[in-house]
Amino acid sequence: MKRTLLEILIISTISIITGFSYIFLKKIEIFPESTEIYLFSKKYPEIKLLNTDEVLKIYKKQNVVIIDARDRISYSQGHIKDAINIPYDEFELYPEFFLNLFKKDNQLIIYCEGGYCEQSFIVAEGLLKKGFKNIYVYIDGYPEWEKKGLPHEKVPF
Amino acid sequence: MVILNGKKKDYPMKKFLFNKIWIRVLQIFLGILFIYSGILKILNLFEFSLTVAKYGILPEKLINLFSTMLPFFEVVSGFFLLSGFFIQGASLIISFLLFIFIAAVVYVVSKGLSFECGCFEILGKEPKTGVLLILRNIILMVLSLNVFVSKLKKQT
Repeated sequence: MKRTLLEILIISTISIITGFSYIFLKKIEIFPESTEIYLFSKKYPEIKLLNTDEVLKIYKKQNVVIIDARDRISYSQGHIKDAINIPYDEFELYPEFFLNLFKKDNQLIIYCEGGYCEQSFIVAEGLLKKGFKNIYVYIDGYPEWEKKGLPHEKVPF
Repeated sequence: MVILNGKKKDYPMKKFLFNKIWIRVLQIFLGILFIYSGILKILNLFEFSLTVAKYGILPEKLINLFSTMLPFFEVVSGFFLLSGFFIQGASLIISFLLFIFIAAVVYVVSKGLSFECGCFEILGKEPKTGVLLILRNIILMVLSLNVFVSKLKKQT
């Protein structure tokens, strides 16, 4: 049994050393702020991530379309002013249905509940695959927007 | 081999399971399988990390570390199993990894979820989390334990 333990120790040491060398060489962030966001940004570097201040700078421009990727009930309870609702689950099923809501050269800012929520990523990924280029994900999401008292509205469901 | 009425009796199944050639075949099979599986994960590290996140077992902060380290354990253990060095240690690590995979898939299946497992592809198709995957991993774990026990028996 002693021999087995020694072998396990040797194999584990080699694995850990090679693993960390790879992490160092590839500059992988081991403990990112949010793993989902980090991984998504690595997978799709063309999709830019924005915080609240960055969204505020561009969101009133004429060319900008704000997309709420949450479900219809959440959207009706409150959303960023003038945002259109593209529920992520409906978008996954019928993407073509939503594509005529904006033009290819529009700047699309997508948001959901912020932080760990992946609805914006699903919609952003889908739009990227459909050929849209100016895609942004607002990572702080609606709760932060509402908390800061920025323009928002409700619609009856 | 057991002693019955003063006569030694061999069990053919036992004889087969501890047969030198059978063990060598298992070593090569499991070795190649885990090297292949590990390399595939390293090449698609971000997709693999996203799959690990989908399992919803690890805290978010640990996902990157775990999903980067795991493929290296697979490749190094697979390499040692294939090369014939440190076979006991390598087969035990592989058995342990398979045990973790089984537990993870059982957890996901019990929650009613089904998605691509993040393990190696078979005939270009990645299996989904489900009972078949659990069964496949159990068979692989038994084979790996077969190698471990046979080497341990030889040593003692």
